[in-house]
Amino acid sequence: MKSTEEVESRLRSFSSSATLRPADEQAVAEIHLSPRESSRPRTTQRALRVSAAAAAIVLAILLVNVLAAYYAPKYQRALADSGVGPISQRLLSGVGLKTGDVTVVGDSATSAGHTLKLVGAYADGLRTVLFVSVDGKGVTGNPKEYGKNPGEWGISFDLATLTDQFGHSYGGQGVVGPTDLQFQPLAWPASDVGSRLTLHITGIWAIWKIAEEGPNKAIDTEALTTHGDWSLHVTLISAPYHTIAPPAPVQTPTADYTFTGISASETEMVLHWTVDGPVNDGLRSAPTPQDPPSAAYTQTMQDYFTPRVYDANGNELQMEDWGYTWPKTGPAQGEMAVFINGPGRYRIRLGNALSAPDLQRWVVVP
Amino acid sequence: MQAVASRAASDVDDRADFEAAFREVSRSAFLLARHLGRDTDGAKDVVQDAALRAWRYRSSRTGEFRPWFLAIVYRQCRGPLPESLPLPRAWETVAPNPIESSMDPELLAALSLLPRRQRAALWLRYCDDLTTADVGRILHCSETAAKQLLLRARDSLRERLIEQELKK
Repeated sequence: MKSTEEVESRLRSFSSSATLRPADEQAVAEIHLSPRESSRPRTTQRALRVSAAAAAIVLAILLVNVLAAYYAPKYQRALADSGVGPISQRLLSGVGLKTGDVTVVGDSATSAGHTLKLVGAYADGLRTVLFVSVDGKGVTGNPKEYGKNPGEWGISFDLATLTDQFGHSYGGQGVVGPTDLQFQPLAWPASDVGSRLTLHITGIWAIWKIAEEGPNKAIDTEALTTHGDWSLHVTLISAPYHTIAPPAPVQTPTADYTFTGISASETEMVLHWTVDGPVNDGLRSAPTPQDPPSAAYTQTMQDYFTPRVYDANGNELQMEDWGYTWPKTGPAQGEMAVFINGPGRYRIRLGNALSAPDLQRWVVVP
Repeated sequence: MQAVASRAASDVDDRADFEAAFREVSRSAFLLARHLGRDTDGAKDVVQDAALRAWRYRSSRTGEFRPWFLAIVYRQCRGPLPESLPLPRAWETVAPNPIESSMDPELLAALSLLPRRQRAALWLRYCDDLTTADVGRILHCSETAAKQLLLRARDSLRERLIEQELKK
Protein backbone atom coordinates (compact mmCIF):
# COMPACT_ATOMS: atom_id res chain seq x y z
CA MET A 1 0.00 0.00 0.00
CA LYS A 2 1.40 3.36 -0.97
CA SER A 3 1.55 5.99 1.71
CA THR A 4 0.90 9.65 1.21
CA GLU A 5 4.54 10.30 2.08
CA GLU A 6 5.67 7.98 -0.68
CA VAL A 7 3.42 9.76 -3.17
CA GLU A 8 4.83 13.11 -2.09
CA SER A 9 8.36 11.82 -2.35
CA ARG A 10 7.81 10.51 -5.84
CA LEU A 11 6.23 13.79 -6.89
CA ARG A 12 9.20 15.72 -5.56
CA SER A 13 11.49 13.54 -7.64
CA PHE A 14 10.07 15.42 -10.62
CA SER A 15 11.47 18.85 -10.81
CA SER A 16 10.86 21.41 -13.47
CA SER A 17 14.45 20.75 -14.58
CA ALA A 18 13.59 17.18 -15.56
CA THR A 19 14.81 15.99 -18.92
CA LEU A 20 12.23 16.78 -21.58
CA ARG A 21 11.58 15.20 -24.91
CA PRO A 22 13.59 16.94 -27.67
CA ALA A 23 10.57 18.65 -29.23
CA ASP A 24 9.60 20.14 -25.89
CA GLU A 25 13.16 21.21 -25.11
CA GLN A 26 13.26 22.99 -28.45
CA ALA A 27 9.91 24.66 -27.79
CA VAL A 28 11.11 25.98 -24.43
CA ALA A 29 14.24 27.38 -26.06
CA GLU A 30 12.21 29.16 -28.70
CA ILE A 31 9.95 31.02 -26.30
CA HIS A 32 10.84 34.68 -26.02
CA LEU A 33 9.23 37.95 -25.12
CA SER A 34 8.35 39.12 -28.63
CA PRO A 35 5.63 37.48 -30.70
CA ARG A 36 6.81 35.07 -33.36
CA GLU A 37 6.29 35.65 -37.02
CA SER A 38 5.12 32.07 -37.25
CA SER A 39 2.30 32.49 -34.76
CA ARG A 40 -0.65 30.49 -35.94
CA PRO A 41 -3.31 32.62 -37.60
CA ARG A 42 -6.42 33.01 -35.58
CA THR A 43 -9.92 33.29 -36.87
CA THR A 44 -11.05 36.85 -37.35
CA GLN A 45 -14.50 37.97 -36.42
CA ARG A 46 -16.36 40.80 -38.05
CA ALA A 47 -16.47 43.81 -35.77
CA LEU A 48 -19.72 45.45 -34.88
CA ARG A 49 -20.21 48.67 -36.68
CA VAL A 50 -22.38 51.61 -35.81
CA SER A 51 -23.98 53.65 -38.51
CA ALA A 52 -23.31 57.35 -38.55
CA ALA A 53 -26.97 58.04 -38.01
CA ALA A 54 -27.19 55.84 -34.92
CA ALA A 55 -24.03 57.37 -33.49
CA ALA A 56 -25.41 60.85 -34.07
CA ILE A 57 -28.66 59.98 -32.32
CA VAL A 58 -26.86 58.55 -29.31
CA LEU A 59 -24.57 61.58 -29.16
CA ALA A 60 -27.53 63.93 -29.32
CA ILE A 61 -29.32 62.10 -26.52
CA LEU A 62 -26.20 62.18 -24.37
CA LEU A 63 -25.72 65.90 -24.95
CA VAL A 64 -29.31 66.77 -24.16
CA ASN A 65 -29.26 64.76 -20.99
CA VAL A 66 -25.78 65.54 -19.76
CA LEU A 67 -26.88 67.51 -16.70
CA ALA A 68 -29.49 65.00 -15.70
CA ALA A 69 -26.98 62.23 -16.17
CA TYR A 70 -24.50 63.92 -13.85
CA TYR A 71 -26.98 64.08 -11.01
CA ALA A 72 -28.70 60.79 -11.75
CA PRO A 73 -26.13 58.12 -12.60
CA LYS A 74 -28.77 55.43 -13.07
CA TYR A 75 -30.49 57.58 -15.67
CA GLN A 76 -27.24 57.86 -17.57
CA ARG A 77 -26.87 54.11 -17.28
CA ALA A 78 -30.31 53.63 -18.77
CA LEU A 79 -29.39 55.86 -21.70
CA ALA A 80 -26.06 54.22 -22.15
CA ASP A 81 -27.38 50.68 -22.07
CA SER A 82 -28.80 51.11 -25.53
CA GLY A 83 -26.41 48.38 -26.60
CA VAL A 84 -24.88 50.46 -29.38
CA GLY A 85 -21.12 50.39 -29.17
CA PRO A 86 -18.25 49.94 -31.58
CA ILE A 87 -16.50 47.31 -29.48
CA SER A 88 -15.78 44.04 -31.21
CA GLN A 89 -17.68 41.06 -29.91
CA ARG A 90 -14.43 39.16 -29.73
CA LEU A 91 -12.91 41.75 -27.42
CA LEU A 92 -16.02 41.68 -25.25
CA SER A 93 -16.17 37.89 -25.22
CA GLY A 94 -12.63 37.76 -23.96
CA VAL A 95 -13.79 39.34 -20.72
CA GLY A 96 -17.14 37.57 -20.61
CA LEU A 97 -19.23 40.52 -21.74
CA LYS A 98 -21.70 41.27 -24.48
CA THR A 99 -22.47 44.54 -26.19
CA GLY A 100 -25.52 45.22 -24.06
CA ASP A 101 -23.59 44.78 -20.82
CA VAL A 102 -21.29 47.67 -21.54
CA THR A 103 -22.13 51.26 -20.79
CA VAL A 104 -21.42 53.28 -23.92
CA VAL A 105 -19.41 56.31 -22.88
CA GLY A 106 -17.87 58.20 -25.76
CA ASP A 107 -15.86 60.68 -23.68
CA SER A 108 -12.69 61.67 -25.50
CA ALA A 109 -9.65 63.84 -25.00
CA THR A 110 -6.90 64.96 -27.34
CA SER A 111 -3.32 65.61 -26.37
CA ALA A 112 0.07 65.25 -28.05
CA GLY A 113 -1.66 64.74 -31.35
CA HIS A 114 -3.58 61.66 -30.24
CA THR A 115 -7.23 61.27 -29.34
CA LEU A 116 -8.15 58.79 -26.63
CA LYS A 117 -11.77 57.80 -26.28
CA LEU A 118 -13.36 55.93 -23.42
CA VAL A 119 -15.65 53.87 -25.60
CA GLY A 120 -17.33 51.68 -23.00
CA ALA A 121 -17.25 50.57 -19.39
CA TYR A 122 -18.64 47.86 -17.17
CA ALA A 123 -18.66 47.26 -13.42
CA ASP A 124 -20.09 44.65 -11.12
CA GLY A 125 -19.20 43.41 -7.67
CA LEU A 126 -16.17 41.62 -9.05
CA ARG A 127 -14.46 44.02 -11.43
CA THR A 128 -14.42 47.28 -13.36
CA VAL A 129 -13.62 47.10 -17.06
CA LEU A 130 -12.88 50.07 -19.33
CA PHE A 131 -12.45 50.04 -23.11
CA VAL A 132 -10.33 52.84 -24.55
CA SER A 133 -9.60 53.50 -28.23
CA VAL A 134 -6.53 55.41 -29.40
CA ASP A 135 -7.04 57.45 -32.55
CA GLY A 136 -10.16 55.41 -33.23
CA LYS A 137 -8.38 52.05 -33.05
CA GLY A 138 -8.05 49.24 -30.55
CA VAL A 139 -11.58 48.19 -29.70
CA THR A 140 -12.70 46.84 -33.04
CA GLY A 141 -11.53 43.81 -34.97
CA ASN A 142 -9.52 40.93 -33.63
CA PRO A 143 -7.79 41.88 -30.38
CA LYS A 144 -5.15 39.19 -30.94
CA GLU A 145 -3.99 41.01 -34.03
CA TYR A 146 -3.97 44.47 -32.49
CA GLY A 147 -0.59 46.04 -31.80
CA LYS A 148 1.29 44.53 -34.69
CA ASN A 149 0.91 47.40 -37.13
CA PRO A 150 2.24 50.97 -36.99
CA GLY A 151 -0.25 53.37 -35.46
CA GLU A 152 -1.72 50.78 -33.08
CA TRP A 153 -1.05 52.29 -29.68
CA GLY A 154 -1.62 50.76 -26.27
CA ILE A 155 -2.14 52.07 -22.76
CA SER A 156 -0.01 50.86 -19.90
CA PHE A 157 -1.15 50.68 -16.31
CA ASP A 158 2.11 52.51 -15.54
CA LEU A 159 0.60 55.58 -17.08
CA ALA A 160 -3.06 55.26 -16.10
CA THR A 161 -4.87 55.91 -12.84
CA LEU A 162 -8.55 55.43 -12.04
CA THR A 163 -10.23 57.38 -9.25
CA ASP A 164 -13.82 57.97 -8.20
CA GLN A 165 -15.56 61.11 -6.98
CA PHE A 166 -14.66 60.21 -3.40
CA GLY A 167 -10.96 60.11 -4.16
CA HIS A 168 -10.66 56.34 -4.03
CA SER A 169 -8.00 54.99 -6.37
CA TYR A 170 -8.44 51.62 -8.04
CA GLY A 171 -5.54 49.34 -8.75
CA GLY A 172 -5.12 47.26 -11.84
CA GLN A 173 -6.52 43.76 -11.71
CA GLY A 174 -6.11 40.70 -13.82
CA VAL A 175 -4.51 40.40 -17.20
CA VAL A 176 -5.97 42.56 -19.92
CA GLY A 177 -5.10 43.88 -23.34
CA PRO A 178 -3.65 47.18 -24.53
CA THR A 179 -7.05 48.86 -24.84
CA ASP A 180 -9.23 46.94 -22.36
CA LEU A 181 -8.25 47.91 -18.86
CA GLN A 182 -9.45 45.97 -15.83
CA PHE A 183 -9.44 47.50 -12.37
CA GLN A 184 -10.63 46.50 -8.92
CA PRO A 185 -14.41 46.57 -8.31
CA LEU A 186 -16.01 49.79 -7.25
CA ALA A 187 -15.58 50.52 -3.56
CA TRP A 188 -18.16 51.82 -1.14
CA PRO A 189 -19.74 54.37 -1.24
CA ALA A 190 -19.31 54.62 -5.03
CA SER A 191 -20.45 51.02 -5.37
CA ASP A 192 -23.78 51.91 -3.77
CA VAL A 193 -24.55 55.43 -4.93
CA GLY A 194 -22.95 55.27 -8.34
CA SER A 195 -19.49 56.38 -9.30
CA ARG A 196 -18.12 59.21 -11.34
CA LEU A 197 -14.83 57.81 -12.46
CA THR A 198 -11.87 59.64 -13.93
CA LEU A 199 -9.35 57.71 -15.98
CA HIS A 200 -6.20 59.80 -16.18
CA ILE A 201 -3.64 58.69 -18.73
CA THR A 202 -0.26 60.35 -19.16
CA GLY A 203 1.28 58.25 -21.89
CA ILE A 204 0.62 55.75 -24.64
CA TRP A 205 2.91 53.09 -26.05
CA ALA A 206 3.90 52.35 -29.60
CA ILE A 207 3.34 48.69 -28.91
CA TRP A 208 4.00 47.56 -32.47
CA LYS A 209 7.64 48.49 -31.91
CA ILE A 210 7.92 45.86 -29.20
CA ALA A 211 7.16 43.22 -31.78
CA GLU A 212 9.82 44.68 -34.06
CA GLU A 213 12.49 44.06 -31.44
CA GLY A 214 14.17 40.70 -31.50
CA PRO A 215 14.31 38.40 -28.51
CA ASN A 216 16.61 39.24 -25.63
CA LYS A 217 16.94 42.85 -26.70
CA ALA A 218 16.46 45.57 -24.16
CA ILE A 219 13.69 47.97 -25.06
CA ASP A 220 13.89 51.63 -24.19
CA THR A 221 10.30 52.05 -23.09
CA GLU A 222 10.70 55.79 -22.86
CA ALA A 223 11.51 55.90 -26.55
CA LEU A 224 8.26 54.01 -27.24
CA THR A 225 6.14 56.33 -25.13
CA THR A 226 4.34 59.43 -26.23
CA HIS A 227 3.46 61.54 -23.23
CA GLY A 228 0.32 63.60 -22.98
CA ASP A 229 -2.50 64.42 -20.62
CA TRP A 230 -5.79 62.69 -21.21
CA SER A 231 -8.64 62.70 -18.68
CA LEU A 232 -11.62 60.55 -19.50
CA HIS A 233 -14.80 60.42 -17.48
CA VAL A 234 -17.61 57.95 -16.99
CA THR A 235 -20.50 57.67 -14.61
CA LEU A 236 -20.94 54.03 -13.78
CA ILE A 237 -23.31 51.96 -11.70
CA SER A 238 -22.04 48.68 -10.33
CA ALA A 239 -24.14 45.76 -11.48
CA PRO A 240 -25.51 43.73 -8.58
CA TYR A 241 -24.30 40.31 -7.57
CA HIS A 242 -26.98 37.94 -6.30
CA THR A 243 -27.18 34.76 -4.35
CA ILE A 244 -30.00 32.74 -5.84
CA ALA A 245 -32.14 30.24 -3.98
CA PRO A 246 -31.29 26.77 -5.29
CA PRO A 247 -34.05 24.93 -7.13
CA ALA A 248 -35.50 21.64 -5.95
CA PRO A 249 -33.32 18.53 -6.14
CA VAL A 250 -33.53 16.34 -9.24
CA GLN A 251 -34.26 12.74 -8.40
CA THR A 252 -34.15 9.76 -10.72
CA PRO A 253 -33.97 6.05 -9.94
CA THR A 254 -30.25 6.13 -10.65
CA ALA A 255 -29.04 9.57 -9.59
CA ASP A 256 -29.89 12.28 -7.09
CA TYR A 257 -28.84 15.84 -7.81
CA THR A 258 -28.80 18.54 -5.14
CA PHE A 259 -28.01 22.17 -5.91
CA THR A 260 -25.74 23.56 -3.22
CA GLY A 261 -25.18 27.12 -4.37
CA ILE A 262 -26.00 29.51 -7.18
CA SER A 263 -24.85 33.07 -7.60
CA ALA A 264 -24.98 35.45 -10.52
CA SER A 265 -24.04 38.88 -11.73
CA GLU A 266 -25.58 40.34 -14.86
CA THR A 267 -23.06 38.58 -17.03
CA GLU A 268 -22.25 35.29 -15.36
CA MET A 269 -23.85 32.59 -13.27
CA VAL A 270 -21.94 30.12 -11.09
CA LEU A 271 -23.61 26.89 -9.99
CA HIS A 272 -22.56 24.17 -7.56
CA TRP A 273 -24.31 20.85 -7.12
CA THR A 274 -23.74 17.29 -5.99
CA VAL A 275 -24.55 13.95 -7.61
CA ASP A 276 -25.20 10.82 -5.59
CA GLY A 277 -26.85 7.46 -6.11
CA PRO A 278 -26.16 4.32 -8.13
CA VAL A 279 -24.68 6.19 -11.11
CA ASN A 280 -22.09 7.83 -8.91
CA ASP A 281 -21.39 4.56 -7.09
CA GLY A 282 -20.97 2.83 -10.43
CA LEU A 283 -18.47 5.39 -11.63
CA ARG A 284 -16.49 5.05 -8.43
CA SER A 285 -16.23 1.30 -8.77
CA ALA A 286 -15.53 1.41 -12.50
CA PRO A 287 -11.98 1.00 -13.77
CA THR A 288 -10.02 4.16 -14.34
CA PRO A 289 -11.18 5.70 -17.63
CA GLN A 290 -8.69 5.17 -20.38
CA ASP A 291 -7.93 7.42 -23.30
CA PRO A 292 -10.21 7.21 -25.17
CA PRO A 293 -12.75 6.20 -22.52
CA SER A 294 -14.97 3.18 -23.07
CA ALA A 295 -18.30 3.62 -24.84
CA ALA A 296 -20.20 2.74 -21.66
CA TYR A 297 -18.27 5.28 -19.61
CA THR A 298 -18.79 7.94 -22.27
CA GLN A 299 -22.51 7.23 -22.37
CA THR A 300 -22.81 7.48 -18.59
CA MET A 301 -20.97 10.76 -18.52
CA GLN A 302 -23.10 12.22 -21.28
CA ASP A 303 -26.31 11.00 -19.72
CA TYR A 304 -25.68 12.05 -16.14
CA PHE A 305 -22.64 14.33 -15.87
CA THR A 306 -22.79 16.73 -18.80
CA PRO A 307 -24.60 19.91 -17.80
CA ARG A 308 -26.04 22.50 -20.12
CA VAL A 309 -27.77 25.79 -19.51
CA TYR A 310 -30.32 27.37 -21.81
CA ASP A 311 -31.98 30.74 -21.87
CA ALA A 312 -35.77 31.13 -21.86
CA ASN A 313 -35.80 30.86 -25.66
CA GLY A 314 -34.02 27.53 -25.62
CA ASN A 315 -30.64 28.84 -26.75
CA GLU A 316 -27.71 27.01 -25.20
CA LEU A 317 -25.35 29.33 -23.34
CA GLN A 318 -21.58 29.47 -23.52
CA MET A 319 -19.75 27.87 -20.62
CA GLU A 320 -16.73 29.57 -19.17
CA ASP A 321 -15.74 26.43 -17.27
CA TRP A 322 -17.32 23.35 -15.78
CA GLY A 323 -16.39 20.01 -14.33
CA TYR A 324 -16.69 17.50 -11.51
CA THR A 325 -14.61 16.59 -8.52
CA TRP A 326 -14.92 13.21 -6.93
CA PRO A 327 -13.94 13.36 -3.26
CA LYS A 328 -12.62 10.23 -1.65
CA THR A 329 -16.11 9.44 -0.39
CA GLY A 330 -19.55 10.86 -0.89
CA PRO A 331 -21.28 12.46 -3.83
CA ALA A 332 -19.60 13.95 -6.88
CA GLN A 333 -19.30 17.72 -6.74
CA GLY A 334 -20.19 19.64 -9.87
CA GLU A 335 -19.38 23.23 -10.68
CA MET A 336 -19.96 25.40 -13.69
CA ALA A 337 -19.64 29.03 -14.66
CA VAL A 338 -21.72 30.12 -17.59
CA PHE A 339 -22.00 33.44 -19.35
CA ILE A 340 -25.60 34.63 -19.18
CA ASN A 341 -27.61 37.25 -20.99
CA GLY A 342 -28.60 39.22 -17.92
CA PRO A 343 -31.68 38.90 -15.75
CA GLY A 344 -34.13 36.25 -16.81
CA ARG A 345 -35.07 32.62 -16.58
CA TYR A 346 -32.50 29.96 -17.28
CA ARG A 347 -33.03 26.26 -17.70
CA ILE A 348 -30.52 23.80 -16.31
CA ARG A 349 -30.14 20.31 -17.71
CA LEU A 350 -27.60 18.26 -15.81
CA GLY A 351 -27.31 15.41 -18.33
CA ASN A 352 -28.68 14.10 -21.60
CA ALA A 353 -30.79 11.54 -19.76
CA LEU A 354 -32.41 14.33 -17.81
CA SER A 355 -34.15 16.05 -20.69
CA ALA A 356 -37.70 15.38 -19.47
CA PRO A 357 -39.28 18.65 -18.33
CA ASP A 358 -39.72 17.44 -14.76
CA LEU A 359 -36.00 16.61 -14.55
CA GLN A 360 -34.80 20.02 -15.64
CA ARG A 361 -34.73 23.03 -13.37
CA TRP A 362 -35.32 26.71 -13.88
CA VAL A 363 -33.59 29.51 -12.04
CA VAL A 364 -34.44 33.18 -12.17
CA VAL A 365 -31.66 35.73 -12.19
CA PRO A 366 -33.13 38.99 -10.88
CA MET B 1 17.14 65.87 -20.08
CA GLN B 2 19.14 64.13 -17.40
CA ALA B 3 15.89 62.90 -15.88
CA VAL B 4 14.79 61.44 -19.20
CA ALA B 5 18.12 59.68 -19.67
CA SER B 6 17.97 58.34 -16.15
CA ARG B 7 14.44 57.02 -16.67
CA ALA B 8 15.42 55.36 -19.94
CA ALA B 9 18.32 53.60 -18.23
CA SER B 10 15.99 52.50 -15.49
CA ASP B 11 13.58 51.05 -18.03
CA VAL B 12 16.40 49.16 -19.70
CA ASP B 13 17.27 47.64 -16.35
CA ASP B 14 13.60 46.90 -15.88
CA ARG B 15 13.52 45.07 -19.18
CA ALA B 16 16.68 43.16 -18.31
CA ASP B 17 15.26 42.18 -14.93
CA PHE B 18 12.02 41.13 -16.52
CA GLU B 19 13.83 39.09 -19.12
CA ALA B 20 15.89 37.37 -16.44
CA ALA B 21 12.83 36.63 -14.31
CA PHE B 22 10.97 35.34 -17.34
CA ARG B 23 13.85 33.08 -18.33
CA GLU B 24 13.80 31.53 -14.86
CA VAL B 25 10.13 30.71 -15.01
CA SER B 26 9.59 29.99 -18.71
CA ARG B 27 10.44 26.31 -18.41
CA SER B 28 8.09 25.84 -15.48
CA ALA B 29 5.39 27.75 -17.32
CA PHE B 30 5.81 25.56 -20.37
CA LEU B 31 5.60 22.39 -18.28
CA LEU B 32 2.52 23.68 -16.48
CA ALA B 33 0.81 24.28 -19.81
CA ARG B 34 1.85 20.83 -21.03
CA HIS B 35 0.50 19.17 -17.89
CA LEU B 36 -2.75 21.07 -18.34
CA GLY B 37 -3.27 19.28 -21.64
CA ARG B 38 -1.64 21.57 -24.19
CA ASP B 39 0.50 19.94 -26.86
CA THR B 40 4.01 21.20 -27.57
CA ASP B 41 2.96 23.98 -29.93
CA GLY B 42 -0.03 24.89 -27.80
CA ALA B 43 2.08 25.22 -24.66
CA LYS B 44 4.58 27.31 -26.54
CA ASP B 45 1.79 29.63 -27.75
CA VAL B 46 0.34 29.94 -24.27
CA VAL B 47 3.67 30.87 -22.68
CA GLN B 48 4.50 33.18 -25.57
CA ASP B 49 1.22 35.06 -25.22
CA ALA B 50 1.56 35.15 -21.45
CA ALA B 51 5.05 36.62 -21.76
CA LEU B 52 3.92 39.42 -24.00
CA ARG B 53 0.94 40.23 -21.84
CA ALA B 54 3.06 40.11 -18.70
CA TRP B 55 5.60 42.48 -20.18
CA ARG B 56 3.00 44.98 -21.33
CA TYR B 57 1.20 44.96 -18.01
CA ARG B 58 4.07 44.25 -15.67
CA SER B 59 3.11 47.26 -13.56
CA SER B 60 -0.04 45.43 -12.43
CA ARG B 61 2.10 42.74 -10.80
CA THR B 62 1.90 42.33 -7.07
CA GLY B 63 4.22 40.00 -5.22
CA GLU B 64 6.80 37.65 -6.65
CA PHE B 65 7.24 37.27 -10.39
CA ARG B 66 7.05 33.47 -10.49
CA PRO B 67 3.53 32.90 -9.08
CA TRP B 68 2.25 36.00 -10.86
CA PHE B 69 3.45 34.74 -14.23
CA LEU B 70 2.33 31.16 -13.60
CA ALA B 71 -1.11 32.50 -12.68
CA ILE B 72 -1.30 34.13 -16.11
CA VAL B 73 -0.32 30.86 -17.75
CA TYR B 74 -2.85 28.89 -15.70
CA ARG B 75 -5.56 31.35 -16.62
CA GLN B 76 -4.68 31.07 -20.31
CA CYS B 77 -4.99 27.28 -19.98
CA ARG B 78 -8.28 27.32 -18.09
CA GLY B 79 -10.53 27.28 -21.10
CA PRO B 80 -11.48 24.19 -23.05
CA LEU B 81 -8.70 22.63 -25.04
CA PRO B 82 -8.42 24.23 -28.46
CA GLU B 83 -10.51 22.68 -31.20
CA SER B 84 -12.54 20.61 -28.77
CA LEU B 85 -15.76 21.00 -26.91
CA PRO B 86 -15.70 21.17 -23.12
CA LEU B 87 -15.34 17.72 -21.61
CA PRO B 88 -15.74 16.50 -18.09
CA ARG B 89 -12.46 16.96 -16.32
CA ALA B 90 -12.04 13.23 -15.94
CA TRP B 91 -12.07 12.93 -19.72
CA GLU B 92 -9.63 15.57 -20.66
CA THR B 93 -7.40 14.46 -23.41
CA VAL B 94 -3.89 14.72 -22.13
CA ALA B 95 -1.15 15.45 -24.60
CA PRO B 96 1.74 12.98 -24.69
CA ASN B 97 3.90 13.67 -21.70
CA PRO B 98 6.72 16.14 -22.19
CA ILE B 99 9.00 14.42 -19.73
CA GLU B 100 11.25 11.56 -20.75
CA SER B 101 9.30 8.44 -19.89
CA SER B 102 12.28 6.92 -18.12
CA MET B 103 11.44 9.20 -15.19
CA ASP B 104 8.77 7.42 -13.17
CA PRO B 105 6.32 6.74 -16.02
CA GLU B 106 3.78 5.24 -13.61
CA LEU B 107 3.53 8.45 -11.68
CA LEU B 108 3.27 10.51 -14.85
CA ALA B 109 0.50 8.27 -16.14
CA ALA B 110 -1.42 8.52 -12.85
CA LEU B 111 -0.92 12.25 -12.71
CA SER B 112 -2.29 12.68 -16.21
CA LEU B 113 -5.58 11.04 -15.18
CA LEU B 114 -6.34 13.56 -12.45
CA PRO B 115 -8.69 16.49 -12.96
CA ARG B 116 -6.87 19.47 -14.41
CA ARG B 117 -7.03 21.60 -11.29
CA GLN B 118 -5.65 18.82 -9.10
CA ARG B 119 -2.94 18.12 -11.64
CA ALA B 120 -1.89 21.76 -11.65
CA ALA B 121 -1.90 21.98 -7.85
CA LEU B 122 0.32 18.92 -7.43
CA TRP B 123 2.71 19.99 -10.13
CA LEU B 124 3.12 23.49 -8.71
CA ARG B 125 3.49 22.38 -5.11
CA TYR B 126 5.75 19.39 -5.41
CA CYS B 127 7.49 19.63 -8.76
CA ASP B 128 7.86 23.39 -8.87
CA ASP B 129 8.32 23.63 -5.11
CA LEU B 130 5.96 26.56 -4.63
CA THR B 131 4.31 27.32 -1.31
CA THR B 132 0.64 26.49 -0.77
CA ALA B 133 -0.01 30.23 -0.60
CA ASP B 134 1.48 30.63 -4.08
CA VAL B 135 -0.47 27.63 -5.34
CA GLY B 136 -3.64 29.31 -4.10
CA ARG B 137 -2.65 32.54 -5.75
CA ILE B 138 -2.06 30.85 -9.08
CA LEU B 139 -5.26 28.81 -8.92
CA HIS B 140 -7.19 31.85 -7.69
CA CYS B 141 -8.29 30.41 -4.37
CA SER B 142 -7.43 30.87 -0.71
CA GLU B 143 -4.47 29.14 0.89
CA THR B 144 -6.89 26.98 2.87
CA ALA B 145 -8.70 25.95 -0.28
CA ALA B 146 -5.34 25.21 -1.92
CA LYS B 147 -4.41 22.95 0.99
CA GLN B 148 -7.70 21.08 0.68
CA LEU B 149 -7.23 20.79 -3.05
CA LEU B 150 -3.73 19.38 -2.56
CA LEU B 151 -5.03 16.92 0.00
CA ARG B 152 -7.70 15.65 -2.37
CA ALA B 153 -5.23 15.56 -5.23
CA ARG B 154 -2.72 13.52 -3.22
CA ASP B 155 -5.43 11.06 -2.25
CA SER B 156 -6.63 10.77 -5.81
CA LEU B 157 -3.12 10.24 -7.08
CA ARG B 158 -2.49 7.62 -4.45
CA GLU B 159 -5.66 5.77 -5.46
CA ARG B 160 -4.63 5.88 -9.11
CA LEU B 161 -1.23 4.42 -8.25
CA ILE B 162 -2.82 1.65 -6.21
CA GLU B 163 -5.17 0.86 -9.10
CA GLN B 164 -2.20 0.64 -11.40
CA GLU B 165 -0.47 -1.80 -9.08
CA LEU B 166 -3.57 -3.97 -8.82
CA LYS B 167 -3.82 -4.14 -12.60
CA LYS B 168 -0.30 -5.52 -12.89
